[in-house]
Amino acid sequence: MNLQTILWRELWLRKSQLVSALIGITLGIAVIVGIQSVSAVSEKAVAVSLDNLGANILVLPQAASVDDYYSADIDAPTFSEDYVERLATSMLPGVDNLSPKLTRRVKIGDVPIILTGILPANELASKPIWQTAGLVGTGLEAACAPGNTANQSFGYQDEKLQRKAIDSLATSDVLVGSSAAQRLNVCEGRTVTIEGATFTVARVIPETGTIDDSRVYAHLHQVQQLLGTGQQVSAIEIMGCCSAISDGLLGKLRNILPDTRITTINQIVSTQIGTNQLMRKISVVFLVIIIIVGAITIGNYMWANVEERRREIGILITIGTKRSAIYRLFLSKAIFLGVVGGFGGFIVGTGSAMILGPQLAGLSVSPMPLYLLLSVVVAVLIALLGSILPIYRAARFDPAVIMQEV
Amino acid sequence: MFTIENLSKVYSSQHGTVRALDNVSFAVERGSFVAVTGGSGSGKTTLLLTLGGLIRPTAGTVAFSSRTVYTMSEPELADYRNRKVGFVLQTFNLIPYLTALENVMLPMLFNRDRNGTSQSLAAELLERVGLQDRTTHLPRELSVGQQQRVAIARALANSPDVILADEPTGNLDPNLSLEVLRILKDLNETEGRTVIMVTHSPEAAHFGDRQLRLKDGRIEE
Repeated sequence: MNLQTILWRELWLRKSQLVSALIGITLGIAVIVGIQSVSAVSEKAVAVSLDNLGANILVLPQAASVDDYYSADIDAPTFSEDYVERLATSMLPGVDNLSPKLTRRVKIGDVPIILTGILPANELASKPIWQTAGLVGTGLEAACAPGNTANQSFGYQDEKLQRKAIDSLATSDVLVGSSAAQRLNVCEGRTVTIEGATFTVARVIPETGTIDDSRVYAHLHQVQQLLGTGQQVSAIEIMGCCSAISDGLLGKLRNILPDTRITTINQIVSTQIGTNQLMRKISVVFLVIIIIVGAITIGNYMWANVEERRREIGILITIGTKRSAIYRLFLSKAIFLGVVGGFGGFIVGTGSAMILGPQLAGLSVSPMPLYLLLSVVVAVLIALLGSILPIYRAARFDPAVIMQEV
Repeated sequence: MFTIENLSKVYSSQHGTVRALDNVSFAVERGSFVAVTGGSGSGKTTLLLTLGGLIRPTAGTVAFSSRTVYTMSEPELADYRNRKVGFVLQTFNLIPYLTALENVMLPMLFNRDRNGTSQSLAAELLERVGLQDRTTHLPRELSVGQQQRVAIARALANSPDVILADEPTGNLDPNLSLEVLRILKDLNETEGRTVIMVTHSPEAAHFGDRQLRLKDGRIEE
């Protein structure tokens, strides 16, 4: 027989109290795990959805403004395409995709059009609608997955959440925005002549409601040749991981390309960061509430348990049990409650998230093994926090007083 | 064995002060059986628990084998209660969810000298008090007389020099009282253990070879 024997026997003797205390801590942990599991997946989904809005960092020539980028001014300055390779070979963490572009105003027939040269393998299909239009390509990874460190990105199994790049765009093909197609009166398979070269319309991009609708896209190198710019580009669009951006990615980019103007597309970045922060704050609020409520629940149980065991504690002290052993006895009980409650909470929370996530939020939730460890640690901390006062009280009981109580 | 000098204990509360022990002095020889008698509130239990290291006196000293009890540190006092004295109390005070055998083993949990032998020793002690066939019974499955015998066996667990018994027959009928008193007397006579027994019963007091009468916290020998 040892102290553990006393612990188990007492737990078994007062099963109903034990079960109610375990239910309390299990449900508390289950709520935390459930919220964390769902919010982790929803953060990913939000991150991917926001990624789908397009690139979030622009590299422009030093003298250019963001307006130049959108207006495609013919005189807008350019810089060397080598910069793309310089960025790519830097292996800078948090840079998920590079998309160089050369944009100029040209006339097709009598119609003024913005011609944009893109590199197909690197060019992002920057609107989800491009994907549904059948522009197949390599699935890209989301830039701002939760828990992402600057140099990590997570891939997505869900086909709908994947962004795709344009794999191939022949030098004789063009992609035409919807309003540009109307103005040029062209459809897929027709040819257009740009700066004396003939191109086939490979695809008319469905309406996106953006400036893209009025553009014609051709292979970057073909556009450079037509316009005689040499190996120059107007801009490089970058998909940057937003956590890396907040960790100073822009500064690092500026170190690599000191003679450029590097800016974020604020709305996208701030929305991503803001959304993630909001979700984390909500999780923290729940965590704090549950720690407080859980500690009070466990404290209440332990207090009642200590009171109920006054005589038993008195006997133990009378027969020479040191107060340190009394502490050990009750701390073991608190730790047991925490471990079992944490484990149970992880099972219930993860199970609930896996069942309810797809039904209520359309999110597919998977078990996260790290949460098992965190659940047990948090539950043990809650149990210990709630037990401090009752255990201290138990060890300070005066056995002489208890022994004289009838 | 025990030397008690000028022992006083005053309890203070919002209703005033109560002098439970008033300048008590006496000595207890090794191997004696001392019966402490007195009316309710005379200070008997306070005296016994003070000798057992459970109530710190307001004044005076308690020396056990030349060692002053209340100059010991908290862990030393716990060791003193664990190894030097064995308590037998009126309400038995067994742990309800432990078997008779485990209750007897309990004091040996905190005595390294008993590691590995505690179970066989506890079984021997239960046999000593005639409960060899009740080792696996829980307290609620035992009669009150049997529960008190388990408590006596537990008091003997670490082979203490002295047994401090507080009204050991207080909850027992005359037959069971006699049975328990005979066990205590036997422990005193055959094993030479010192017994200090608090009782309000004159019949029980006759089992002692010395009687101390307490009145209003003072000794009337």
